[in-house]
Amino acid sequence: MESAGRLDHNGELSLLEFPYIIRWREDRCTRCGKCTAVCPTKAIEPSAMVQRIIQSDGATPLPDTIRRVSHIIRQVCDIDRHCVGCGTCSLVCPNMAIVPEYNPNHKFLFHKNRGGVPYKRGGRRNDPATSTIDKLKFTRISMLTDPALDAGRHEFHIRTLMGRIPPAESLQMRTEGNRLYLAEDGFIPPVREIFPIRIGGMSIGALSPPMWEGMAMGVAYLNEVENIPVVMCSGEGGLPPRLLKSRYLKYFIPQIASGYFGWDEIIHALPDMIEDPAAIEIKYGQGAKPGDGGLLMAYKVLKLIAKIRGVPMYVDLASPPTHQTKYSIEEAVAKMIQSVSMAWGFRVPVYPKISGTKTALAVLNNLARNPYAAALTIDGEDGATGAAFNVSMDKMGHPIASNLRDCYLELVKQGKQNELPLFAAGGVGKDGHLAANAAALIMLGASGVDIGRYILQAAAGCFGDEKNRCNLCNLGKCPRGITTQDPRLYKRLNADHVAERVVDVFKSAEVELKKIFAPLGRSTQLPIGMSDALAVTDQAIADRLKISYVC
Amino acid sequence: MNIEGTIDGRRIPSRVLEETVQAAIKDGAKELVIKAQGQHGIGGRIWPKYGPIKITASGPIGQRVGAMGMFGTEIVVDGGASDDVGWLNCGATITVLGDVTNGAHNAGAQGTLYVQGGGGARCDTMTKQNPRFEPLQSWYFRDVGDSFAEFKAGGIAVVCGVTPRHPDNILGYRPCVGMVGGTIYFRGSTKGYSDKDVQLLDLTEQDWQWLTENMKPYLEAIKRTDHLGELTKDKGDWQKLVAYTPAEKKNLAGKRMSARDFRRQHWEKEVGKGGIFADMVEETFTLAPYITTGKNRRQKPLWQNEEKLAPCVAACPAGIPSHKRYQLLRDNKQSEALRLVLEYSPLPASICGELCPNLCMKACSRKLLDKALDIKGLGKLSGEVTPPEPCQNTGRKVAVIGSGPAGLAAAWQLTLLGHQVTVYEGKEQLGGKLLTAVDQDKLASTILQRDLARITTTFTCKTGVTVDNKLLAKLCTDNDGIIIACGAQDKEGKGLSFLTTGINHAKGKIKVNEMGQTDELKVFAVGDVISRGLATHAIGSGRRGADALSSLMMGNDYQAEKRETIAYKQLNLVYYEAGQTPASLADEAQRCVSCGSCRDCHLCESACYHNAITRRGTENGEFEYIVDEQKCIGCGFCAGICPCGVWIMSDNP
Repeated sequence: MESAGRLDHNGELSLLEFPYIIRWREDRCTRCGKCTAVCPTKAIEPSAMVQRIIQSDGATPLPDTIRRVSHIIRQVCDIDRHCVGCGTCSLVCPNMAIVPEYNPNHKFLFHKNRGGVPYKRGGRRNDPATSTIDKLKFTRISMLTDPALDAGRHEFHIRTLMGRIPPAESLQMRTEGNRLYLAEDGFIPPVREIFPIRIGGMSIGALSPPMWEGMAMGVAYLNEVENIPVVMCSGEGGLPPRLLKSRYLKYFIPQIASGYFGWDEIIHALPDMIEDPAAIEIKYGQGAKPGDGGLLMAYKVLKLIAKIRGVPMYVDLASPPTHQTKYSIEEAVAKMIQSVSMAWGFRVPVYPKISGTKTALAVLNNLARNPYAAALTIDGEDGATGAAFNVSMDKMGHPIASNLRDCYLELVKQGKQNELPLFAAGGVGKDGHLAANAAALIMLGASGVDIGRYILQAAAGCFGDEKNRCNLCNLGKCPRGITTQDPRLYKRLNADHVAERVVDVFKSAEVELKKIFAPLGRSTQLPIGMSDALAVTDQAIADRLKISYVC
Repeated sequence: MNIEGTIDGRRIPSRVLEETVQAAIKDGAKELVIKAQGQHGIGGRIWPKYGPIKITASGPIGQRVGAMGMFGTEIVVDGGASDDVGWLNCGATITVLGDVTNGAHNAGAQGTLYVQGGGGARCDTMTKQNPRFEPLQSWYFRDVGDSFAEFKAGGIAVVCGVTPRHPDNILGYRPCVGMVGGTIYFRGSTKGYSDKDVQLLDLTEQDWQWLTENMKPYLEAIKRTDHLGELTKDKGDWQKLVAYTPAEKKNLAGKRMSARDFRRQHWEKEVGKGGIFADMVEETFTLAPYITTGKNRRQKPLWQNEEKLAPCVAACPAGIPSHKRYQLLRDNKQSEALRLVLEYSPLPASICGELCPNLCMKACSRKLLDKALDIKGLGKLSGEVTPPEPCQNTGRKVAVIGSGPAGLAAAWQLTLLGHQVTVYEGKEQLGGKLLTAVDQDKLASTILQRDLARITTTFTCKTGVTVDNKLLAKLCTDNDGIIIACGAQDKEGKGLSFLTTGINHAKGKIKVNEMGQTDELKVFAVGDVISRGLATHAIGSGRRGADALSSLMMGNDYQAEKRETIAYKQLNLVYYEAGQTPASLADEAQRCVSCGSCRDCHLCESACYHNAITRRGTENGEFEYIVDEQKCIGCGFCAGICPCGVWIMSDNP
């Protein structure tokens, strides 16, 4: 039996330690209970409150005590049930009576390690400051100099190449008469022409079925109806056999990572594939949690996920930080690229993805020497994830801008900048400037970019932000139904609507890219590495990225 | 008047030619014949007040002939013209007896352009429409080049399609981008146009009338009247392009294939019905609202009346349900309330009312608000109540050894259960340690005697009888059960020498299981001889041992108390006003929080916005509150506001 001492406030947290404080308006509330029914963390609960008013109406002191008990919505001061500020309460409130407000003075991280378990969450680095790529401006505006183009009028071909483009002289060719043929044992690496913004790897499992299918459908729509060749990476969690055996597979990039989830189904489906996938991504690292592996928490491993991944239900699924059975960079990269290329007869581009790191150049140089390496994707520190330790997300990783730039300039030094495409990821569209971020990275040297969280936010209304709003992805409690396997939650999400929004996003990004590229006089070739078009008002950034400083 | 573009073998600058033209007009010249040498902007900017003026130009014509031309000016170019003919035309009639190159009538607003040949790229772009004037007209005899009519906002363009350079595409590549107004009549085929800006239509009668009426003067101007018949033969040879209105455009934008149609017509045809996951999940992907009922609720309320112990009950070693006594008092059942305690303790006035430190009151929830209920007082009041009637005789016989509080409690309990009880007491008086170890100050003998008097008539008492091995063995044979309540012993356990071999003991304590059963099946031990404690502990021990023995004898399962204690935070004390002094027992009963026990106050019923909670009477005369699963959204209001903590929210798997 509890002692009365426990009822005092000793050891209790005050509301002010919490990151979000619920503003509830008694005058508007109908006590319908919708807010408490949906609150994903049960941070609010109905309660009773007593008020006491002493009135003295007459001309002399004549006190009258009015005692009134009423029902209220109370915020719980329990760190395990903290308000995450998602605002689902506001969403369902018929009277605009409730809203969470960010509390900039909170001490959340001082307390969110109960039981000696460090804080884990979803989302990305909690830093609302403007990222470097968002600081870059496009300062080369041709009016009378280069032939300026009109984004609204001229035709643009905003495409990039995914795959290795070896110099012509290195190809083993033979001539017959005046025609060129591939030599007997010659090899031309596979290349795909794609839209330069890809949907980065987010797994079935991390995402709910309607979210994943909605995105997949949007991608198919973009390719088939809008003629925008967007490709999407599967993330590490396999692909459903129905998709593997469909014509649409060519728009998808299956990912192989250290957990190898879902790969037996992919291999079983090989003989039935009527199309090759767009590429294969080998994941070595993730920008959100560099040096840390993937983790799908047990309560997200329901029947569907167990089936697709080939694992028992309700178990934590860890992808180790490193691939087993690989003991050196030479071996690791060469071995993986070889065996995966072999599965599709060397017809599919195979490339590794690493997290942003100071050691990126070492990987790059290794790939530069490997004729089968199709590209390199670098995922910077602002990349998001479904689940990771807060410390990995907030404090580990490398910003994408200088990491990408170093790699590009290294390729330039080797004369291989047109040979090995670089793809950049991590924080693209963080503040909503999708096309501008993509264009900036392209001008720094990327052949294309990956988006992840942006598409969740834009296409499905993900509540998360860099003030740690919501970010419940790891718990399977996503109030939008995006990162959950609970049918009660994911049924809130309409896959058709997601698909439509994916189409909107890419169509408008294409228009914005045109608006950026037109004043450069570029309509058919991406301005990859065209850094003279970029500038920044910060001298240090300008120096580091070797772009111009403006003020 | 003749004006030469070349004087003495030298080309005169465009500025000088322009000055010469303007001067001649001011001097009253009405007809100018200009032999140009590539001069810029010939024939423009002649204000209507000087008109009508006719200019015939020949030779290499420079760019922008007729630029900013005005009403009253007629320009005839004898031969082809260079770029931007009629640029920003504001009313001039310009006839070119040859081809025009790029940008003819660019930004033109009024006036007419007659072209004998074809047009270059970007003709009729940026043309305007001013409601003060008749619309601009541009006539092309053959075809036009690429990017025709971009951003056209007004005016009429006619492309006759006679001997075109590109017969399959007489309007060039991508015409009409950004076109928002005006009309293009054309005769021949086109390979496409900006279909988000303009629509292709057949000519109406009105169109046809306008075209045939205006065709004649055009053909006369360009000296091609022999084509009149061919060009006005069949309305069906012609088509027109007109800009969509803003409303039509908006409508058009919304007309892209919906994702739903894409899914049905393309996606599911390719991947299978129901989508890519349909073969892997049982549930269909139907949409569900954020607010759900029934099995889709995240949590559901449970009415857990009496499923948790009130703190007073949990704290009482004898397990006396004081909250129930107050409920009976609130129900105006005073004698039942006072009698209830006798079901748990035979000596309420002595123990609850005097000796017990009243752990119940220490735990009382009401203390969180002001002070505990006076449960001690309730004990005192129970001294005079009439005892309840025992159950029907079971025919089972039990011997109780010892008449301290534990022995008496066991004897009383067994008697109430209908068994035949004999108490064996070594001393001459009943009471055990209540007599030997308790001061008169603490417990007046009158109170104890009154409590004893009430019960001792209900069972047999054999005082002054010391139980030894032999007697115990006999009692074991004669009785269906034995309860040993011989009180506290020293560590050597000298006083336990009467125990038969099967009953184990150590350090002065008899070994028992959780029911109080010794190693002899039908022998139970209770009170200080198994665990020392307050007199109240002995009462509770005696009652539990008796219950367990009774169950054993009757072949029932013994149900030990296993309920958890309700947490204080589950209670809502705000409904009670602090600090009031109760004037009566009834007032005092109102102060009871009724922890974990429904007060039947209907608050939950009133609070439920969705009317999901109903109170209903049960067959045994009690009541219950039930939830309509189809109305309940699982908001937790009932649980959050219940004064007694009876409602809890449970996860809804």
